[in-house]
Amino acid sequence: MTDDSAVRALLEEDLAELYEESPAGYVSTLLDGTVVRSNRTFSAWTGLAPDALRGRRFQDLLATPGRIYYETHLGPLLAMQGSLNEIALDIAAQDGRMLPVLVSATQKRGRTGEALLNRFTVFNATDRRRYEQQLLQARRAAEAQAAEKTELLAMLSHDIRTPLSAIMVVAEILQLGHLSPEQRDAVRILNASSKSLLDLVNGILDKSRLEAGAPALHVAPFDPRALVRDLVTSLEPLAGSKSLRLRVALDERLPPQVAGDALKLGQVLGNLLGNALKFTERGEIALELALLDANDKGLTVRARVVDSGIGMSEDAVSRIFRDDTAIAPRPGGSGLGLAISRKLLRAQGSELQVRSRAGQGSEFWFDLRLGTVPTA
Amino acid sequence: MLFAHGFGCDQNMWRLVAPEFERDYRVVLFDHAGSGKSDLSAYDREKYARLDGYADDVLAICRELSLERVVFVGHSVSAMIGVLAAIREPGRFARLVLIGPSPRYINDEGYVGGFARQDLEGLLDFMDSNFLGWAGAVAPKIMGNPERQELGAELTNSFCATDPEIAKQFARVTFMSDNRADLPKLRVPSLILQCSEDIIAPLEVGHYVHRALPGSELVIMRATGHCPNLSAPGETIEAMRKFLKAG
Repeated sequence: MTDDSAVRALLEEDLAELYEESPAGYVSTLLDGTVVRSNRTFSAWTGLAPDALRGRRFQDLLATPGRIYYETHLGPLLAMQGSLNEIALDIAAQDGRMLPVLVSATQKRGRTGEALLNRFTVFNATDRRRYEQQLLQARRAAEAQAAEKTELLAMLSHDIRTPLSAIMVVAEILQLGHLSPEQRDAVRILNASSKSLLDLVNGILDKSRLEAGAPALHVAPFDPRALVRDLVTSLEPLAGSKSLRLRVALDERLPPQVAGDALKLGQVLGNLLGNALKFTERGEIALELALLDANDKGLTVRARVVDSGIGMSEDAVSRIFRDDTAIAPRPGGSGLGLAISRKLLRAQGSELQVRSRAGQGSEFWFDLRLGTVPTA
Repeated sequence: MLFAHGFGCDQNMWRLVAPEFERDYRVVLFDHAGSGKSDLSAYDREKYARLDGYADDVLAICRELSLERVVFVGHSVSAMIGVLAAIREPGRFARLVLIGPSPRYINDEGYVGGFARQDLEGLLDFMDSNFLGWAGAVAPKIMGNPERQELGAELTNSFCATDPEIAKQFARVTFMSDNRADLPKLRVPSLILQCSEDIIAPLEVGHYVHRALPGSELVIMRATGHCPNLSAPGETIEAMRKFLKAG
């Protein structure tokens, strides 16, 4: 019997010790944060004896930024949810030191279910906070570096364009003079190379602009047929030089006027058609616009660009849209055009799709929502 | 009666107060762009770089719902947002209830706002730390209270949960704001509900706002902290009723 009561006494002592010496700080408070009980661990961290802690408010023991966080996030959260888990805060100790902690809390309720007490469990998070800070610094550094690179790229592209334009103008002038066949050939190469270099540089510039933020949409009424006609006219010489047929199929139900960002749509279609021309040596390239649905709220148009060119392997198709930013280059192309097209479409709530097989051509399409324009 | 929540929260903030007024008023609740369940894609960094951007939205809501003789109830930063909106369209508003308002949080010469600039930087760091452990921290799992489980599930998804970058911008815009010069322009009668021991909006600030706002009434509440709408809904409701009846 004496043994039993001795064990019981020891257990009780043990329980008290567990509370007092726990590796976690325990603080019980009234709902307004006034401390009613706390353990020795918490006293050791704050430098305030349990008696000195009693009557103070838990949030007053935090460093100011943490107190703002407490008042705007943690306090409301606890009141609304009855609990919270591992919130990062700093305890301001008496000696001026800051102790990084993680705080969990539970509201204790009386018999009738009303909240009466808050119980805070406080963990020392010195190590974790150090890792977090390192992680944060690394992330900030990486973000800053990426932004810097984008900016540098944009600047470089811009600076390259100016002398390049000069080269192109001079090449044009040269063409006007009397040239031997060899010289004429050289000037043609000069022209073509400068043109493709300019396209590349423009692409980089567009992409870095897009990376800096989502492009703004400029929605206005436009004639979809005229848009397609202008595009095809500009590409016909290139198609003709490769003896490719450029076929256009427009849904006759397309209204004469629709509302959308004509410039961006033209850029995307021009890009897809340009790619098709680049990767197709014989056969045809088709541009189709089909009306999928239309009501008084708007219409959905499916745009398809199909070529009979070299196509892509399954692997290349899956790589081409691997992630948000990178589009793997195809032989002879930088892949920039597709990346830009994709971003431009996403800004309009549309997604670029692709289907292709090596040797059998490629098909790119997207469904675009456009606004209706009331006919006068 | 239009309720606007403050920084760090969403319209759930009002659940203990708003229902009390449903009998006498058409009660309208909303989440600010970038907070709660708002459409994050509608968040425009440039527009919301100033409190005026939020005031635009308040006026847009009033127009869209054809709200007239509005009693605007704003907590924390939304108190100032309401003041800005009511200065621009005074005819739209009957009364303003400003809970814990502050026209400027950072101390200035001859002005006690309560904070030093570096406190704000520290806050942004905390927000970063807490967003790192996002899943475990700011959207905590619900414990206890099994009979109100549905309430918990709803809260986990919305309350205080938002895009970290947006939350940080909102913090910056809130705590860097200085609307002291706007206060004297208000022509709508207002009630200032000032808590005792509110670190976000200290007593001095409440008195300052009262002096600067023409036709304002100041009530110092027994409630402590910054969210009497949560911690002392009864006292909040009573003070509002008294103010509204007096009109």
